Amino acid sequence: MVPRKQEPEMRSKRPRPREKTIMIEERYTTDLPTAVGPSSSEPKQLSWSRLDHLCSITKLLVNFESADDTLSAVLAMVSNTLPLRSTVLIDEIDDQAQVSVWKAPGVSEEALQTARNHAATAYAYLAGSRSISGKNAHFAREKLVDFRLEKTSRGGENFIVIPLVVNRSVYGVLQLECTTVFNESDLAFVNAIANQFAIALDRHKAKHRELDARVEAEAAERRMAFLAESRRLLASTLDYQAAWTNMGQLVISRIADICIIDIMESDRWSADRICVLSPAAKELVTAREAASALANTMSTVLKTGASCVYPDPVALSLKSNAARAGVQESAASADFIKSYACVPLLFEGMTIGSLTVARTRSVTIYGDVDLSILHDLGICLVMSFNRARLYRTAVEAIRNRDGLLGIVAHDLRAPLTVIMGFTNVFLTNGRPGERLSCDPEHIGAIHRAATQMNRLIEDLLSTASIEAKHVLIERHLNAVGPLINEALERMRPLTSASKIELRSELLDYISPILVDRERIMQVFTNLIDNAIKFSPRASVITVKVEQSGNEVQFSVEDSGPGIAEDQLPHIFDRFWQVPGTGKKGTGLGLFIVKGIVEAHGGRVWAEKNVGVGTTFRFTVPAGKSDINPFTLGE
Amino acid sequence: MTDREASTTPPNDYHRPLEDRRILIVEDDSDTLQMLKFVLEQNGADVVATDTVKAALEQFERQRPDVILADIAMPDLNGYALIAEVRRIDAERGGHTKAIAVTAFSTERDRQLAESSGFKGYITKPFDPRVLVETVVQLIQ
Repeated sequence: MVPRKQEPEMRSKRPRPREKTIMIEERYTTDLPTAVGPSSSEPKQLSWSRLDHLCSITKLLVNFESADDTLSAVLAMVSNTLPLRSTVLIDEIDDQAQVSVWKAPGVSEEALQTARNHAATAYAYLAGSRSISGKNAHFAREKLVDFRLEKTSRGGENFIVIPLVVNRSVYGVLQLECTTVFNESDLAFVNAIANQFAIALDRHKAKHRELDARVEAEAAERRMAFLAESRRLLASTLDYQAAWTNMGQLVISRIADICIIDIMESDRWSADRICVLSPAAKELVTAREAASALANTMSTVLKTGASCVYPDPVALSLKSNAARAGVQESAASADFIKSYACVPLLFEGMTIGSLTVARTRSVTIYGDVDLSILHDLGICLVMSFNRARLYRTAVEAIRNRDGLLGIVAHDLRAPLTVIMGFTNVFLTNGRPGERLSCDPEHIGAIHRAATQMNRLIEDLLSTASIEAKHVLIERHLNAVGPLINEALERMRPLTSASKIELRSELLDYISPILVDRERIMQVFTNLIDNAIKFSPRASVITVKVEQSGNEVQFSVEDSGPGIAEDQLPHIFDRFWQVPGTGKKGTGLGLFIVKGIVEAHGGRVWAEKNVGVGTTFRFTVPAGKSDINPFTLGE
Repeated sequence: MTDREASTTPPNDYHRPLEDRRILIVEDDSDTLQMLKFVLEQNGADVVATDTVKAALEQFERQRPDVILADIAMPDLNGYALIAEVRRIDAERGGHTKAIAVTAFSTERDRQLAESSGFKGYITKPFDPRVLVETVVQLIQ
């Protein structure tokens, strides 16, 4: 056999006359093998020789391994009895027709092109007419294409086109070109070979389909095992960062050299990144370099929510053409990345992060199967992240509750001490039968202690109803002056020890406000109580009120140490405490203030005073005197 | 004032276990401070009442009390800060003066913390005034 001359792969689009377009790939053109086997010099021995060849060819086809190799051997035998000039094999697999061409020495490229065209046209015609049967296998060339061959030195040329048919369906053609005209005997011989070849080829394909299916099934099994292992890793701990690092290691060991998991923590406005590198990748880059090389890809995926893969499979199919045309293919963002795939991490329809894998070795590139594995992994990742987040929230809630319980216990004990202390003295000091008389100041202390305890309980209940968004507001028209005066009177006893002065300033005539009196009183007492806690001795706390449009604005101004700018956005959060001053209460006071004010349709905020101290302001809608308060009070 | 003394102070034949003892109290809650003062005075003590650690330290130097009663949770400086300051003072000037923590923190850890900080006694709020007096008496005997 003559060694084949391999040509580069080439693809071109060739329209088929009817239903579909098939891609025709010409694999190679080979010189026709020189004749082997029994000599065919004697014409009378031709039939016997052909029978002999058929027998050898049948044996060859039994051990069919590759269409091209087998056909080369077959052609070597055929050329003993037929003066072959060229042979074209078109073999279609999944809409992809592969063309192999053999040629005799000295055949011009033009003649060869004619043979190619002839075969392709014949195939298009045959494949288009699905009802074709083996009987119509021989076509007169004039019917198919109008071609004129220059006479070669060896005389005229003649084509025979045999469809490769299995189950009445044409999947290819075998075209032989001879320098002589085919006679009946030639036709029968060639037909016999082609039929055997077609059957062998089909059997071969079936075997490969089965093999492919098995390979695919095994890959699917491995993929399931991989996903199962990932799920097990992710479920093994509530610390999602540790679980993700373990999973990154697993990914590295199976499908990547670099694995990067990015996730946005919505409550922290920051991204968590886990980057795992294989030992091979570590020799090339650091985790930081790997992440920065892929940063653009990851941010695009984060923005668009669509996965992406490099090299692009569509671009890849054009790559060889581009390479041949000398077009420089656009490189990945860094040399060391040969292929990558990146999928978004989705939670409740939002893209909350990305999962990226990359290879630093160009052994295999990522494709659809990898993307689908990554999507499945992504779902597992998000589930583990969400589970960790729920757990963290639950732990935080429990810690807050425990903290609150401790504070409540502490804050109830202080007034109880006063009550129990004084009452014990009264109960144990008197002689039997003696009527006890009490110091009014002690009674006042007991009353204040009880009031303090009651306020704490009300705070707890208010918090519960604000949390449940169930603040019951019974609106009535209230004059502003008496409201403020009562609030100040209620709080005045708390200032006796610290000599703090409580003042009020009513700037203008203020409309009555349509509010729940007790609730607004709670707002005032909480704000004033806060101010008292943080004000120096003998300082002044001023409550002001002014009207602007349909709103009435109240302010409570103190001369305490003030609140740091960075704390201002958090002061109305539940359990917020002034940092660094030790716990001075439940941390619920301002949360309640906000809840009540907002339930009235107002706003509340705090400002740092120019000099010293803090001013808390809140608004409530001004009431109109013609409103019937009872209908709105519902 | 005389009326009140007559009504709330036990007659002279009552046992007054803290007679001639000077006790320094620091407590930020004015009503609790008033109650502590009342109970201890009733039992004969000479009470120096303060509501901040700073004031307490000033009075300590001046009054040289036999016992200190201190709240733990107070704004600015707390009871631990007070006892640390007192222990820094020379023994001749009262650095070893016995001290009792009076606090609403009631866990075993709080108690250990108080004892390791230098408090010799520990009373949790709320308390029976008799227990308070007994604790002080035991400490100064």
